[in-house]
Order: sequence, then C-alpha cells, then structure tokens
Amino acid sequence: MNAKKFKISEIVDDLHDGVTIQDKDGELIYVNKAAVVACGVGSQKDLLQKELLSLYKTTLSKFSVMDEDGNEFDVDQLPGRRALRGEQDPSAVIKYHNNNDGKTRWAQIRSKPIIDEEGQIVFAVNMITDITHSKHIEEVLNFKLEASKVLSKSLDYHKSLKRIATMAVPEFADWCLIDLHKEGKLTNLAIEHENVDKLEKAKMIRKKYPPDLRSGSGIAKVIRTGNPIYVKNIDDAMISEAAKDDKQIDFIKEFQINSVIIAPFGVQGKIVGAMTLITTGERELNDSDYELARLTAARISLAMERASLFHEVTNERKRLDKLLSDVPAVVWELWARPDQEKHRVNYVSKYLEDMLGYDVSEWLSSPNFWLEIIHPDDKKDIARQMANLYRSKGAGTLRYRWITKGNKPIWVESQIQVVRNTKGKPVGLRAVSTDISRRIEIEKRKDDFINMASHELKTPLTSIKLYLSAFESSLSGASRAKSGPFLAKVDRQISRLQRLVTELLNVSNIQAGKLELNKEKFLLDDLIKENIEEMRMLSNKDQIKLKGMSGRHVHADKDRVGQVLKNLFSNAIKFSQEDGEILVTVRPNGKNVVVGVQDKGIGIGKTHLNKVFDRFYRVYEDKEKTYPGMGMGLYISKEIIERHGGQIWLESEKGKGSRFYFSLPMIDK
Amino acid sequence: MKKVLVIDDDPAILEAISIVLEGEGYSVKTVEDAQDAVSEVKNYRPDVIFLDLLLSGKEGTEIANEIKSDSRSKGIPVVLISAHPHAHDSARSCGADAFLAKPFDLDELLDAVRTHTS
Repeated sequence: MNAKKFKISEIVDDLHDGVTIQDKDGELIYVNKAAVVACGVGSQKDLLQKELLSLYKTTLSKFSVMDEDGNEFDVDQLPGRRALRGEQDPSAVIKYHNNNDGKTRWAQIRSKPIIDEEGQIVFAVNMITDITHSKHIEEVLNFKLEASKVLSKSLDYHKSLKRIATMAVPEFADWCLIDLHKEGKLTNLAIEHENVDKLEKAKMIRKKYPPDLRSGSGIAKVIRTGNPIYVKNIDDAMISEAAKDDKQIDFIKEFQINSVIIAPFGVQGKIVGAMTLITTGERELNDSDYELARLTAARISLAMERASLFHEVTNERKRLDKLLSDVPAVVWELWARPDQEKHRVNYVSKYLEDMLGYDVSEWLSSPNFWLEIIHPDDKKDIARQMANLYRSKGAGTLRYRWITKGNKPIWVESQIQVVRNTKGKPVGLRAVSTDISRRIEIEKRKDDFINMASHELKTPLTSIKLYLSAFESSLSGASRAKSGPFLAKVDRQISRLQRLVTELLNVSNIQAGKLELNKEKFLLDDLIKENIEEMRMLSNKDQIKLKGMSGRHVHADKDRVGQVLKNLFSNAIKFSQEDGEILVTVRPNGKNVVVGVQDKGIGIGKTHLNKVFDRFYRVYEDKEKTYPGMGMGLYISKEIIERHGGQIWLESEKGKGSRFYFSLPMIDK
Repeated sequence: MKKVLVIDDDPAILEAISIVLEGEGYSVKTVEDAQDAVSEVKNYRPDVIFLDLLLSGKEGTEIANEIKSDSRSKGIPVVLISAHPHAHDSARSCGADAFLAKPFDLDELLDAVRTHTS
C-alpha cells in the first residue's frame, strides 16, 4: 500500500488515541474520531452525521472534569493550555464524568506545542489516551487492598463492613447495602449512595418494605441458599415478583435499578449476611464486578470468622483467668532462669492481691518480684533451692515466708513445676503458692506440745532411774544376785523409754528447725567401732561384723552421728532373724566417707523405698508381723546426715534384706 | 562432809537425789520454792549447787545469775539440770559451771558431784 495516497489528516482521524489541536488562543480547531469516542459518545452513527469538532464541543459542555482523586480540576492546568504557555511536554491524568450517560472515565492527556519558523507557539497538539479500563483494574486492586486492610485491622466487623460499603460507592456501584442475618431476622447494617436525598428515601422504603426472608427471591434466596445472585438487567417482571404491592413497584422503578449483585458471607457454614451492589440507569455491573463482590464477601467471611475466633479465645482466656483467680492460691509462671535478670514474668493470678496485697501489675513489672518479697532470712536459701530445682528439671515444694505489702510475713508453700522445651531444656517454671500460716501455726502448737510433753516425761524418768540406783545399792549380796537380772531388764526398758522420748523431742526440734549440731573433728572408724561394741553389749550377740576402714576424719556432731548408727544398727537387728548377719562397711568415696549397714532381714518393698525416711512413716503390710517403732528413727537420721552435708539412701528387695548407706564429707585430703 | 544444795520444783527429783547422794555420804539440802533459793545458798554455804532450769516462780538462769554475781557465792559451782533441749545454751549464758541433761542416772550424777567438790 502506498502511504502517499493518504492525507495525514485521514491517518490522524483514524488513530487509536484521541488527538485534538488547539490554536494559540486555546480554541479547538481539530479533533479526531478517537477523541470523540473518548468523550463517551461512542456511536459510529453520531460520528458520521455530525462534524467531529462540534460534536466534541457539545459533549464537552456536559463534562465535569476532575483530577485523579475526584477533586475539581483547574482548566488552566490542562496540558494543552500549559503547552501554549511554552511548556515542552506537559501531561495529566484526568477523571471526567459524563452527565449525560452518568459514566465516569479516565484519560491521560499529553500535549506538545507547535512552533513556527519565527519560534512562536502557534498550536498545541493533545494526545488523549483512554485509560478507563486500566484505571478500573487499578481501583479494583485498590479496593481489594483497602477492604482487606479494613477487615484485618479491626475486630469490630460492624465498623469494617460499614467502611467497605462506603468504599464501594460510587466506584463499583451506585448503591451498596450490607445486611446481617441472625436468627431469622435481617438487619440493615449499611446503605450507601452518593446522593443524600436518594439515600434517605431508600432508607425510608427499606423501613416500610423490609425484605421478607420467606420469599423466594432476592436477598431472601441468597441468605437461604448461600448462593450469590447476579442480574445484569433487571426487568419489570422481576420487580413485580420481588415487590409486595404496586406502590413498592413504583418506588423501585423510580430508582431505575439496572444491575444487581447479592453476595452472601458466613461464619462456620452459617450465612450471617449479604452484600448488595446496585447500579442504576445505563450503568451496568459486569462479570468482573461480580467476581469482586464474591471475593469481598469471602474476605468478609474470613474476617468475621477470625473475629468470632478471637472472641471465643478472649472469652476462654477470661474464663480461665476467673478460674485461676478464684483458686485460693497464687498461681504464677516465669520464663527463663528464675535467678537471672533476663527472665520474664508471664502470669500471676489475681489472688496475689488477696493473699499478699500486691498489685498484679506490680508483680509483672518487676523481674524478681517473687524473690524480692521473700523474708530476708529465707531469701538466700530459697534462691539456691530454686536454682537447684531448675537444674534438676523436675518438680518440688519450697517453704518460705513472703512479706506482704502490709509488711507482715506469711508462711507459704510453693509447688514448683519446671517447664521444659521440646529439647528437654528448662525454660521456665509454674508455681502454685499457698498460704500455710495457719497450718504452720497448728504445727507449731503441736511441736510445742511434743516439746513440753517430752520434757514432762523426762522428769519422772530421772527420779525412776535414781530410785532404781538407790534400790540396787540397798540390796544385800544374796538378794542382789537374785534381783540383778530383773533390775538390768528394768534398766534397759527405762533406757528404751528414754530413747523414745528423746527421739520425739528430736522430731519436734527438726520441725522447728532447731536441731543443734556440736561439730568436732574425729575418726569415723572409731565412732563406728564404739557403737558396734555398745550394740553387742546390749543385744549380747555377735551378729554385727565390721568390714573395711576409712582411716578418715569427719567434722561432725559425734552424738548425732552416733544416733544415726544406733538407729541403723537397731533397725537391722529388729528386722533380722535371730542370728542374721549384719555387715557394716566403711570406705572413702571421692570427697565422702560412705558407711553401709547391710542385713539379711525381711527387706522393704518397692512402694515403701522412698517413704521410709518420711516423718512417722511406718511400713504396714497385711498378714505380716508388725514391728515396734514410731517411724521417727530414719526421719531423724536423714535430717542429721543432710544437715552435715551428706546423703542417706537404701537399696532393698522384699525378703532379701536391706542395705542402708550414708555419706559424710571427710576433711582429710 | 561435802554439802550439796538441790533446787528443783519437782519433789520426786529432790527426794531421789537426796536418797542417792546421802547414801554416798553427802549432806544434801533441797529447796522446792525458787523464791527461797538465793537465801538458802547464803545460809547453807554448799560445796555444789544443782539447779533446775525451769522453775515455777523464778527462772533457773535468773537464780544462777544472782549466785554468780554475789561475791560471797560466786565461787560455788552451779550445775544446771534440765530436760529442756536448749538448756545447753542457757547454761552457758547464765554463768553455770556445768550442765546435766535429764534424765540422768546415778553415775552421771555422782560424776558431776565429784568433779565439782574435789
């Protein structure tokens, strides 16, 4: 094809982009077809019948020109005018509303000044590109983004839904309604339109003709079926079907409804509402608007689901909080090591305020509050015990005094559970602290009683012993020989009574933390030999055998350690056969001396193994011979050994005897 | 003959100690009322005093203090006797010379008397 056959003006006439030319006074002197189409005239017939320029001018008069954001546009700032003023390549994006067809369009205008030989500006050429389609895509994206933002930001979905309705109008529809459905009732949450008068009227009609959920059309159908509705062009038949009476038909017709989209949203499979988009007059809702509406409704569903979950979680948390605060104990939680700065308090129950008078916030804001308020006398010890417990990764019970806000010390017992991560590393702890002041008080009264009772028992014991001595010395030779064995028996029973009374007193002293130690340096082997001798004399038997020697000194309370030995020996005798061998071993082990007492007696069953060291614990088995004792000996022994920094333990099997061991730190290198 | 003064509010103890010590050849005087204790020390001029820690009316430690702060009696050895678990400490702090824990037997008692009268 020969290009020269065509005039330039004809080529420009058929260009895809709109082209206009202005003279130096700003008067339009040329427009091409595309420019006229861009105005929204659009029909080929119009273009043929009328002269392009005058057609353009008449359409132009019905325009309102705005900037991108919809604000009024200063005509002087149009690129053509700027080009005439000498600007080289001015451009602008405008939004214009055709008052005739009610459509809004966007265009990008780029202009260029045309200069004659003398350098004077004579024309301005404007290139007009219709960017309505891309602008629409941009707005859709923007709306999606904004809608998501609004929905994700607030858990108050009423507010979010109202905001979405506002955003939809007039960009996507002339009307936007949001209705909520609950227990068979429909409530309008939002109704939006640009025109206030129309809005008021619509609200009035809506009030007068509330949608009937039993009807088979419109929103009722959407709510019931959960399927969206999209009608591109509403016809009279549809209006008649939806309306209740002629008057309502008139009302609806007055609004000139054209397209309708109703998209439902729901929570946990239940439809809880719908979003309605309506366009009027010539304006149509297209497939992409339908997609957008469905997508938005899905987003609303998600947001509502999230909000409802959040409320559920919040309520559950409140319930648990209430439950924990009603427990008459302080429940608390710490993360990271409790004695280190970087740990973080996670939780403390409200009972703190009742029990100690401190505010929950006070506790939470101070990293070591639980330790800070411990009685100065207990603090160091408890900090150490807690650190040990943390390392042991297990659970334990601590007893100490907390100082209340009113400066009053109260005894508490804290059950501690170390929390471990998936790798088994300790990461924190949970504790339940109970006020045991009353229990301590009762225990103290009981201990005072035991203290006094044993004191009272000792006094007559003293007289009895002295009278017995006097009686013995008053006897003549013959009767002394006759009565001697009986007197020895009486003496032994008195000693036994005396030992029991002493043990009772020991127990009460241990409880009161008043067990005294008078430490001295001595050879442990000697003490063991002495005690074995004593036992042999008492039992008149040779069943105790000593094996090994430590040759080591210990720094300990001789009487107390002797008490432990006597206790272990007499237990071994008590639970052995008449001539069952009892083997005593002594050997150094690392920094300690370990003493073992083994018997071949009845042994101890597994269930009792760890409990035999408890206060007043006694092994009772059905059908078994019972043995005398008050369950104090091993408890006292354990306390004595532990107070010396040693340990006491046992290995035993029922019917196969027991092996008791204790260790004491030695002072020899 | 060595003189022993026993101060205790339990008559059974007083009688028992008297019987056994007199049997061993000591002269024994007993005081049951704590209020009379100090004056009896001055009148009797014993060689050794056995003093119970818990007396009704007056504390044993208080009596020991008075005995030890009087120049005429401070040379007399005082042996505190008690069934109380902390009597050790009390004995030390009130200036008593020795402590004998109840219940004691004849040998322990005689040991204490001999030690403090020789």
